[in-house]
Amino acid sequence: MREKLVAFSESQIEEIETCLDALVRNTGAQEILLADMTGQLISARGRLVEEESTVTGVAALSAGGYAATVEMARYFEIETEFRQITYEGDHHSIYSSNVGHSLIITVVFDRSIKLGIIRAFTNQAAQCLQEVVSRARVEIETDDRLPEAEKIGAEFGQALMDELEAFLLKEGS
Amino acid sequence: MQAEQPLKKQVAFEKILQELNRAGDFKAALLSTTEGLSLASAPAGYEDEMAAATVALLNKVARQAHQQLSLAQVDELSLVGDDRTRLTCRYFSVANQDLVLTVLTPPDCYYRRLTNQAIREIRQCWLD
Repeated sequence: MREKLVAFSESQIEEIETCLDALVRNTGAQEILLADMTGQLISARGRLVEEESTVTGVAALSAGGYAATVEMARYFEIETEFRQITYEGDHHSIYSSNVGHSLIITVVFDRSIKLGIIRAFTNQAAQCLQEVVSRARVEIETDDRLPEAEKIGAEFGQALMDELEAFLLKEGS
Repeated sequence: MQAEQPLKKQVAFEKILQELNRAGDFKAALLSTTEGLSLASAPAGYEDEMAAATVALLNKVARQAHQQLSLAQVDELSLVGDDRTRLTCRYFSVANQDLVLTVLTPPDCYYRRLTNQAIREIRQCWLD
């Protein structure tokens, strides 16, 4: 079952980043990606963060990997929800876990780190992230009850103006 | 001066297990999940994945004894060899995670107080 997409406020993004920082600190994992089920990157930690286009692509791949497993299960006529997927390599491994039904967290780690550590502390991070997701959902549902004009809001208008101004300046130079 | 970085959990758990082995003269110590995944072990090179999987089999026995014989929550499970070497599994939870601390002790060694102390340290380290 896939839930409606969720959007996060700035303070919720900070909370998400705190959860991911704790996961890096606890495990020593090299790369961590948090994406939604459609492959939209939400946050990342590690070397890839410096390469925006790459990290966005990897986020899409992580969602694609999950979707491929679900699809494969359908062919095998297995009716189950996959919560975790692990790809084990000789030197590095990749572990993916769901956060509720809306997000996927992907962790890349080397062979010195035990899978048990990754799994236990990713579960802990997923619980922390799920709390943020639940709160974001409540806020979205509240927002849905507001009139459409209010929902778009001044903040969005300002952001649009800023982007347009930056674009025009770039084009003019 | 830079503030000291906290140890990543696996390294911190390994230190606790090394100290446990040293204090009790134990042959090996292992921290694993009840599903059979190793989190840390000492000494280095100990076959922890096999040990964690074996301990997971014992967990089944503990769970069945708890459920079918109405035994209180199992706190410890021991296997003693005919040379009196003892494999002891101590069960505990921290932050919704069920864990097992397993130690392999030589004959006639005290282990209860030392494993209690190690469990306290692991809990503390987990939550730090």
